[in-house]
Amino acid sequence: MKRRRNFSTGSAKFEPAKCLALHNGSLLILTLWLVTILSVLAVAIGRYLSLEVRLAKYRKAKEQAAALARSGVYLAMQRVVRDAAAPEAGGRAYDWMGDEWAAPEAIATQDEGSGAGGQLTVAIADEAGKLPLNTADQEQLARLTGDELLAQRLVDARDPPDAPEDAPERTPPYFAKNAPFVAPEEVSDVPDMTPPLYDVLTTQTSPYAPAAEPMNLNTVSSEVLRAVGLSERAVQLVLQYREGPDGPDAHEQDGVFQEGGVAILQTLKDQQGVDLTGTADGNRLISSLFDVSSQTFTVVSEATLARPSVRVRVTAVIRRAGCPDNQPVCLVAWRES
Amino acid sequence: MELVVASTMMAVLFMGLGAHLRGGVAVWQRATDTTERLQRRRVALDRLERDLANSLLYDPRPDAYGEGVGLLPAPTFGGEAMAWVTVGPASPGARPAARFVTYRCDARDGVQGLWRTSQPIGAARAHLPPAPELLLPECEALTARYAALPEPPELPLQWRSPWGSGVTALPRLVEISLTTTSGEEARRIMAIPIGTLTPPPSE
Repeated sequence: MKRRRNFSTGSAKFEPAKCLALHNGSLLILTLWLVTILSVLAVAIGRYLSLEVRLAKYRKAKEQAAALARSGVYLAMQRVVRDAAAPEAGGRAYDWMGDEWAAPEAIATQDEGSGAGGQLTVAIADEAGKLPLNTADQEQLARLTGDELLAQRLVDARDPPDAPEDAPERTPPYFAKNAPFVAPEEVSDVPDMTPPLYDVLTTQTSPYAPAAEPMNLNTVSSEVLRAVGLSERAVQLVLQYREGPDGPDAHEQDGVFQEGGVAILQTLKDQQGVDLTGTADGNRLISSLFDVSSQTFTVVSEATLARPSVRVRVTAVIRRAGCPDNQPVCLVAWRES
Repeated sequence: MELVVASTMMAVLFMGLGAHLRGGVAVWQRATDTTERLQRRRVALDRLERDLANSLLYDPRPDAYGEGVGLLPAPTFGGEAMAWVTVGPASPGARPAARFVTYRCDARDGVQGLWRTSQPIGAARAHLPPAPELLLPECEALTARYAALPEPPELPLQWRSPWGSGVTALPRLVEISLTTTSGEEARRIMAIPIGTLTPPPSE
């Protein structure tokens, strides 16, 4: 039967029940589509904003960690100044591995705003316990590295030109500096430098000590003792006295050389029962190579934040002698990771 | 009649929603562009700040620098460009070494931006052309000022430009302003911890 429209009355033969039955659920489907599209959009925007917020938090945490790590260097500067102001027992000025400055310091921190925790660790190492890179002779450098040619190249790099030393044909080209090293990383430029030798040189030698400054016998490493020409017996004597019965990691029973010069031999004679007077080892130990105090230190300050996980390390070299304007301590080098 | 009303309402609703979505997408796009631009600027300034912090007073002898082969280009802390020796790896993971770096905003190969060059000391001594790296494409101008102690030193810090050659003394504080092609300016004060506030003598 055909449905007819009654134009005379203006009304239609419209049957809502049938119409609704015909389109049953279409509005619901439309609404669900709309909700789905809006939900997808909301999730996408939420994820985008979440990523941006996380990036901003990471950036803020990195800035905080950097500021914290930098502050650790200045904290260390105060520690070495305080150590210099307070002489050791007997009024003597000596530095050793059990000194106040040598103990690593860990400080827990908390952000006042977010409450997030972090940690600052400050470790100070003695640069006077390393072989002076600018005054060590070729023999000492060869003994340390085990490489005669490299030792010669290191000496050639810092001393006035005395032979054809440049290699402009290399890649990259090499030109001897003919001046003292000012940073340990400079040894990287020396031809044929290998990663193991680079590591040995950067950990066992130091370009920061002034020419006449001796090494500290209380902190110098066994490798450096061997490099300067001490016999294995003398090296073991020094190490055994320094480390004491409690071993190298504890310092309560350490032996300390409290005075340089002939007092070193007297200490070894009294404490270890061995007299090195008049021997080649004895002469080296009382020479100007060694003393018992330190003026140059390396500070490694590392700040770690837990959430978000961020770590920043600052390594600095500080000196507490010969600073400009008679300052008690000054910065010599600075490296930020 | 109800269907007409419902359709009209839905049409109005969809038109409004569409307009808002279009506006939202435009804002989102603009926000993303701005964020990326700021990120690029921040990364460039961070790179510059790290190179400055790790600076090295490589050789205090003025005769070690020059144009001849074997001589190192002189470190320069100028008003619009900087060149100096810093310590860093050539690439991530490589061992650190002394490197000669330069920063300048100019056009290279038709591309305007903040350009950084970095090369080993040997390559710089040989005066080999370094490979430039575009740090910030929209950089129009770089302006640098350097803090200096006034006379008497009790007065506030003075800012001067240029600093000088940087052969005998590195600046302690550097104020960097980057002006972009859109006219925006980014300014940051950076520290060279081993630097000094006493400028080198005029050349």
